[in-house]
Amino acid sequence: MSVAALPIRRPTAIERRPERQALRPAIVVTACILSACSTNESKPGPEASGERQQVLAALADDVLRPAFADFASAADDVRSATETHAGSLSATDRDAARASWTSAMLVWQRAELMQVGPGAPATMDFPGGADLRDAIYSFPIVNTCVVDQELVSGEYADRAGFASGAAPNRLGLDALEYLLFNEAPDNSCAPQVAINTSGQWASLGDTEIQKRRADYAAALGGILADDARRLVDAWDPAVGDFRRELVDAGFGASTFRDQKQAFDAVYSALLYLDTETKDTKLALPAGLSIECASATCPEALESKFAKVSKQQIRSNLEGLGTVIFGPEPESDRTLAALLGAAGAPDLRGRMQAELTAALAAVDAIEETSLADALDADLASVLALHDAVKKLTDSLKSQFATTLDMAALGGGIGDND
Amino acid sequence: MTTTEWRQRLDAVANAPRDAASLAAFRVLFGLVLFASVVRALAEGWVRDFFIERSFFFKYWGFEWVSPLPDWGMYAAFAALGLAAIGIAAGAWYRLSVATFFVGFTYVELIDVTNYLNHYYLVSLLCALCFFLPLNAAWSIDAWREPTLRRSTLPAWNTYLLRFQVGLVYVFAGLAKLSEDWLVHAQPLRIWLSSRSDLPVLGSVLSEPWAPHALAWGGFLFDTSIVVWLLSRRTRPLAYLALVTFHLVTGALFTIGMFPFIMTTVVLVFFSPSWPRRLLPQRLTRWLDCDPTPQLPSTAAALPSTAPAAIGLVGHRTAWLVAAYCLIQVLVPLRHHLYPGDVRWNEEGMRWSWHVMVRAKTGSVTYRVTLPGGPQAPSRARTVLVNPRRYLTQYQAEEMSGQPDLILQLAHHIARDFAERGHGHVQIRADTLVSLNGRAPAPLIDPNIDLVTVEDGPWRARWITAAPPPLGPERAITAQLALP
Repeated sequence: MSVAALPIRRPTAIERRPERQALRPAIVVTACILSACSTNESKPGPEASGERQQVLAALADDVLRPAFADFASAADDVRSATETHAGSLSATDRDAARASWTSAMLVWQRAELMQVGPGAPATMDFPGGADLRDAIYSFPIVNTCVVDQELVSGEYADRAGFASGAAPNRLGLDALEYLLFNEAPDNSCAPQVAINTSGQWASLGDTEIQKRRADYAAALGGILADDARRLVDAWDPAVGDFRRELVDAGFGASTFRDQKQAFDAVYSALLYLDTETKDTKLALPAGLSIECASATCPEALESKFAKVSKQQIRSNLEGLGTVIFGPEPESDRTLAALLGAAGAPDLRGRMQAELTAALAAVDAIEETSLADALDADLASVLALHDAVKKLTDSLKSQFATTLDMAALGGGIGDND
Repeated sequence: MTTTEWRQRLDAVANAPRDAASLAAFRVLFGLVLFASVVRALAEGWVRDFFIERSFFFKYWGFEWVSPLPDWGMYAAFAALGLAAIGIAAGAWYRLSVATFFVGFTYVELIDVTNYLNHYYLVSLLCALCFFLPLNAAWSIDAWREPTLRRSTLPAWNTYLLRFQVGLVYVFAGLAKLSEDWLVHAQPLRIWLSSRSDLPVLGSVLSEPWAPHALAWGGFLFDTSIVVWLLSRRTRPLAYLALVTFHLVTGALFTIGMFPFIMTTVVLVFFSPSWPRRLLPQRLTRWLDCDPTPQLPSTAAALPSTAPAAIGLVGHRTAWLVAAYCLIQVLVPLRHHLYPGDVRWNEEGMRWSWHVMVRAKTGSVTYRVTLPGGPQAPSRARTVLVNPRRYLTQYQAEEMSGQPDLILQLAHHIARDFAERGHGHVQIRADTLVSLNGRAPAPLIDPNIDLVTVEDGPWRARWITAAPPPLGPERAITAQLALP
């Protein structure tokens, strides 16, 4: 729709008149403008909204929904692999279950940068938030002891009840990693915890523990697949249609206050790279955080059992790259394209280079696992941290300023 | 003309009796807007977000002693503000009400610098002025209860003082826009408008390449000249119409809360003293005047005097106090000229200067904290990184990232926190990268300076870096207008 086709309010003729009369048109104009602001009838349709809405549509259709669909497919593989393993308890099936978990985890790590709407926390700060992310993966609030406690209680056998009632850190990919990759006969709880003081754990025996781990993993595999499908459905135009809420933000959709808030939600999701990837996954294990009392803290790595922390970071970077630059190199309906349109093509190029450098820094870590790298080549891990920081610095400064984005949450007030 | 004659003339102008109706209406409307602001703050959950859920509060220099009350106390404070606002509007226990609102509102604003807004500062100033002006002399419960308080007229300087205060906001807001960023590059307006394409009617217009420049120049001319148009009786109605439109548009474009409502209300002091009598039914104004006389003249000049003659101003101590107040109000916004560099970058003299909407500034701040290795092993000193989010809400962190004195404050807090945790005396340096009005990010703080050794104060801060260069020519108006 062209501008000429839009309903245009003709300016009111203003005549010289005494104050009494002059205030009346002011009130009328005020009321007219206010009414124009508060009704949808006079709003331009999506086709008139410009490139920002096209970017949101491309984000939903080309980035977010495909990522969630990929994960749902991977989660289905986890479901079937863990069920097969629970039935056979064979090493081969266990390895297949592990492989399916690794695939799903790395797909999910890209989606970690896409916690918009249903995937975001269910708080007032995050419009449309439904906590679906935490049900799928609760890092960094991981607690293997509670998984061991559930193992003893056996409550996971009631799959439906467990899915709806259990805390997130007893579910999802993090609990699955512990159940599938941890072969130690002991549990991770302190000696004074009930399952140890009561002798419940000791009474299970190794065989029963392995069986229960497989059963618990199968239960979680099924719940994970269901949660992944819920996320896909939440975005599906034929089901939850959160796609419309994002794309039509400011144009009739009600979840976001306006289109800017929808972009703020996307930006907030990108900040995962700053708070989680940079600070929690890299700075803390590398001894750059005060929470790490020694030179390095490998016990703080994200993937303690599957040892895929390095690949997880790479997937995070890939996820950020997809959100900003689109799924294809030539994508033109992207946040990066908006940078160019806003007169900052230099920033686009610089962030692309910083992303490439960060990915190269991951690949430059020769050790298979980040834990080994912390021990053998700390400098390479620190280099990766620095490379990621350059990217997050750009993200939080010129990128946010140029695209007028601000993070959600924390009590955003007025401005002037 | 002799000095005496000058004083007599000034005295005559300043103390000329003016219908009290205008200032009474100002009081009522101002009180109602304040009440709406308090209700809105409660409804938005800002008491919780701004005062209860925060663990750290940025202090104003000289007001470090101001701290938030317990949870119930903050809610009680806002309840008191709401009651005081009603008291102001109704003119009930007026002095107590306006004093309560001034003290309470200013206290609330002093709790955390990141809550600072220019229009909040204006509210505090207007409340302070209202305390000294007898705005309950008409159309108030106080005047109804106590006939000796009633006045049909008030000295003209009461109105002039309020006009001065309100006019100052526009003039300095206009002067702040007298910059290359605003007038040549239309920044930061261009950035903000680009994200408002969803606005009804306006959205498609704002996406035109010329729109930011048109609005930038329009805003500049509006701010710098509106007071002149409001002062002239002939242009005042049109000027007010333009002003209402301007504030409605900016209110629709930006998240500026009550600012449009406050300004469109307080600007009414520029209208003639009897404007409410012309708008309201005579029966109502007569009732508000507490006047049983059936035939009340419609103009103040003919009103029977119900109070002693206006007090003299010139030569009085009041005159000197008013003059001193006005001088301070002129000088404070100009103090940033005492500091070298761009005030939008170094923020020295930024607050209380009516620099309204002239900068889009966000950045990344990381503290490098060097822990001492101890006297036995000083070589084992270790450096850790601290993300401000460890101590701040997301909103506080974003506000802090562009304000050097706040970055310094948090550095001091981190030093105290680390000392309390047994890490001894640490050194803290800040790695900052800040983008101003779309510029490439640049360090805001000298990364080599140990901020623990730096004291905040009104003097020049040498630990703040020089502002980045002007925006490049590719963003100049000519380039923008050449876009398809």
